Amino acid sequence: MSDHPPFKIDEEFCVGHGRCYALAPESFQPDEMGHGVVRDYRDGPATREPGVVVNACPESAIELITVGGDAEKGSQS
Amino acid sequence: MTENVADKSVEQLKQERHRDYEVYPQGTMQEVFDDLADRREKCPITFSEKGGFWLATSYDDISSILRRNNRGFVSFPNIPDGKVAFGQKAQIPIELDGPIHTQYRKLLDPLLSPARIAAIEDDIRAVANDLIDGFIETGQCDVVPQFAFPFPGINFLTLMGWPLEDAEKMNEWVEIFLKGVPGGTEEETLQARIRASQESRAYIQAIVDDRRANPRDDITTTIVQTEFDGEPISDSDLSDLFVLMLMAGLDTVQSVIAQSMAYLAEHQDRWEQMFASPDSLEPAIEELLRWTSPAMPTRNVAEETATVGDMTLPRGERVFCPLNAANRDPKYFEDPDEVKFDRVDPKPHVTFSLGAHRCVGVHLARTELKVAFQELHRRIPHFRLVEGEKPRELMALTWSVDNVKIAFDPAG
Repeated sequence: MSDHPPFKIDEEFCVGHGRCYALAPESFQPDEMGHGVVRDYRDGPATREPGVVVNACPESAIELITVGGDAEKGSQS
Repeated sequence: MTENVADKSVEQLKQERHRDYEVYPQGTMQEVFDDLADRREKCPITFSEKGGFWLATSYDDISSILRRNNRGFVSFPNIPDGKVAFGQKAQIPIELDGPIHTQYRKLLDPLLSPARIAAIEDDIRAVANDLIDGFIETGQCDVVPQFAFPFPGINFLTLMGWPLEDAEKMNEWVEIFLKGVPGGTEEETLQARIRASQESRAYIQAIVDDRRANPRDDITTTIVQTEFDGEPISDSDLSDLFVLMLMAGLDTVQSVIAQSMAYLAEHQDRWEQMFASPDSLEPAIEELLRWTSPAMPTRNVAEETATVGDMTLPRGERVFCPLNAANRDPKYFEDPDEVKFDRVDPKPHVTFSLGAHRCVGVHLARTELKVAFQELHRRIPHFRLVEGEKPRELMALTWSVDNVKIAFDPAG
């Protein structure tokens, strides 16, 4: 089990703006295309509220999976 | 307004929602922003008979359309009146869609990844300081020609591994492409553009030939050696790609720096606020990106129909999506015309566009802006506009300002 907020990136919508790993590098890292990837383990203390990170994605591609399995997602309009 | 929309023909909707828009507006930027705000409030998607395109003005409509590139919309032609400039084919890669576009992005995205850009950050900083050295002792700077314009151009050469001493030549070509011959006739501009196009293509061809004969460890070699489905990229496509990369990276970063410096000259408290703490700069740059937002894409319905706002539009309809209209939607940005560095948890701006055509140079642009502002602030802690000089607003398919002349205490 990783110890950071249960972020999930929808790969269909991520196009590599890089906001997630810029704002929360402890939880995300870029892949070679510059797309965001959730780290396996959190690299250092959390720097932002998880909701702030979710809202910062221009594509609304980040979800926060809650314990019950429901996803709280930025509004994909 | 929304009743029975589905029953109406597209011609009826065009009539009902007819409100012309000038792509090359006269007047001030604020007047255009006021017009866009008025449309957003009354009827957020209007039809401009002049040019024959729909104009989207709300954040939700614009972001929705841009995200649906390749899912109902395509980017060609990326110009609101649909007339292809200089009669050329689709521009590579911004007007390509579908699988060929994906191939180009799989090539380019890794070459412009955060790690690649981080590796040249020191070079970018040296470029900024060289340019500042050129004017710092005079106590004055004409921001566009002395900094904002050459800075991204030289960085492009660094990135591509092209000779830095060719910067001036390159800048001259780009200046002619973007601005024509100032004060000259249309014919003079056309002739100058043809000449610049021939010269730049010959220049690029020589680089391409050189990399084929003597491969190096640089981005240019990687691109030249790339094969799509077993075929190398043709010389002509390579030339188009390199020219577009240069122009797209130059025009936009130039505009953000120039507009920001014009604003900051008259808001020196904000210049200080940007550097108040180590964490201040990043959100300040995001806010300046939101506020300056130079680019204006157009998307085209590519399937039988696509939903645009409350309408269903048929294939071929063009929707003009000025990113600055989305970025000034009061639904998400309170006092949208104000620069506010302390917006709490703001909605992301769309300055780098969204979806498949997200700016390929996003990481380069953010690094360039960070370095530019850091070095300008370090060496010019206070500045003002030169008395009697007023920035000139330029509104075309990208928005910018020039004649940003600043004065400061000369230093070493």
